[in-house]
Amino acid sequence: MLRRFRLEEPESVDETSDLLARYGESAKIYAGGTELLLAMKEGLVHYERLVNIKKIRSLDQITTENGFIHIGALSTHRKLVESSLLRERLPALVGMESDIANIRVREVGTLGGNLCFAEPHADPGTLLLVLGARLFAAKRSSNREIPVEQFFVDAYETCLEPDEILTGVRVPLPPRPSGVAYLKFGYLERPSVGVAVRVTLDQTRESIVEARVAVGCAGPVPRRVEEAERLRQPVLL
Amino acid sequence: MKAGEIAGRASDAISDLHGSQEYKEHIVGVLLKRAFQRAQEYCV
Amino acid sequence: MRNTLSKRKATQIIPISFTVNGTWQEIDVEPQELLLDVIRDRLGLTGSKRSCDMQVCGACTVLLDGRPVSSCTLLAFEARDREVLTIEGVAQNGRLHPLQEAFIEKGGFQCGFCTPGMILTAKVLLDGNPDPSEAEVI
Repeated sequence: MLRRFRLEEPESVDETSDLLARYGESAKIYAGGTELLLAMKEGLVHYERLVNIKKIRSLDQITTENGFIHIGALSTHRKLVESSLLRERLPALVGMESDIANIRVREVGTLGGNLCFAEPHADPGTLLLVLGARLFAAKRSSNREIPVEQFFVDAYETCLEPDEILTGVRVPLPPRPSGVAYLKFGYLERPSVGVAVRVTLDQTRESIVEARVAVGCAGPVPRRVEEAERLRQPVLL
Repeated sequence: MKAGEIAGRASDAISDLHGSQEYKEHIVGVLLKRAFQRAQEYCV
Repeated sequence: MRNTLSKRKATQIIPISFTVNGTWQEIDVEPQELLLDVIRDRLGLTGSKRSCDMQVCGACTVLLDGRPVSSCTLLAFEARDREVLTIEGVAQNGRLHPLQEAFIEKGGFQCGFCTPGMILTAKVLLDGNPDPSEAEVI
């Protein structure tokens, strides 16, 4: 059972930021709720107010511009899976998204919510690290860009300020020729280990120009492993 | 040391109900090798 | 303090309207009410079950605008202005849905507790893809 709370339904980022500033730690942003409501039902956290941001219409768009793909924070996992733009340009992201939790969670859970909850046993952060994603955060009268490396501070903790809202994720289109893969392992509902790799080859496709490696789920936050990236074949594997 | 071992150690794995630290570090190595192979296979 | 009681905040009420199995419903919900509780306790539709209570097992599955959701972890107000289908609404005019017939014919049950969720989720798959491959089913 959920304890009683009040619901706020702002229609803009500014209005949301004002509510968060006014109510501080007694309020929490609510998007898909797939993580937050579980924690609240368990009694692990309680908030006097949930701030439903799904009335902010502009935050669920997926667009492309100048070599980047912008994904609104309110995009559901299902929307990402079904996006023809992503299927064409970032198939590895679609593959990862299509295997998150289950079909019912993907229906309501959002990419932004997943990142902000910072549950260690989650998939997107690890892949976004090798893709070189940047996150967009906003509050009243200011915006900033956060490299995904800096976003996760600890388990369930991000670098967002109390009145800041994650509005979107910007992913650069991978260089060509390059390949991206995300693999995970686990026998529980959530992944136990996740590994992401992006390799960029030279034009002859014979040697690796750049390799990026990230690991997630095993520890408190997903992280790049630059020491492994510097190795060159054949010592790489 | 190979990339998989380095990544395993860098993963900050903890022992919990998902498995022991050593087990997870080993899995990181296995997955990393497969992920490299797949990334190269799907290169465009 | 004498005025402690009067300081208690009034309960927030959210009036919502939605259809459940094709029937228009107008009810008042509180923000923390879960869709599963509204469906079972207030509308008396007990085919949707609470089991794991954490969006894993699927026993509480209902369709929201034709898409499967875990009603155990969905706030009831999210159903406003939408269409909810529960297992009770799958049969039409007293005739079982072909999927229900098939589950009976093949004995597709273990204890049967989560069967409503299996049928609704299978319905979503087949509504969008009438002839799925084995891989698409899995």
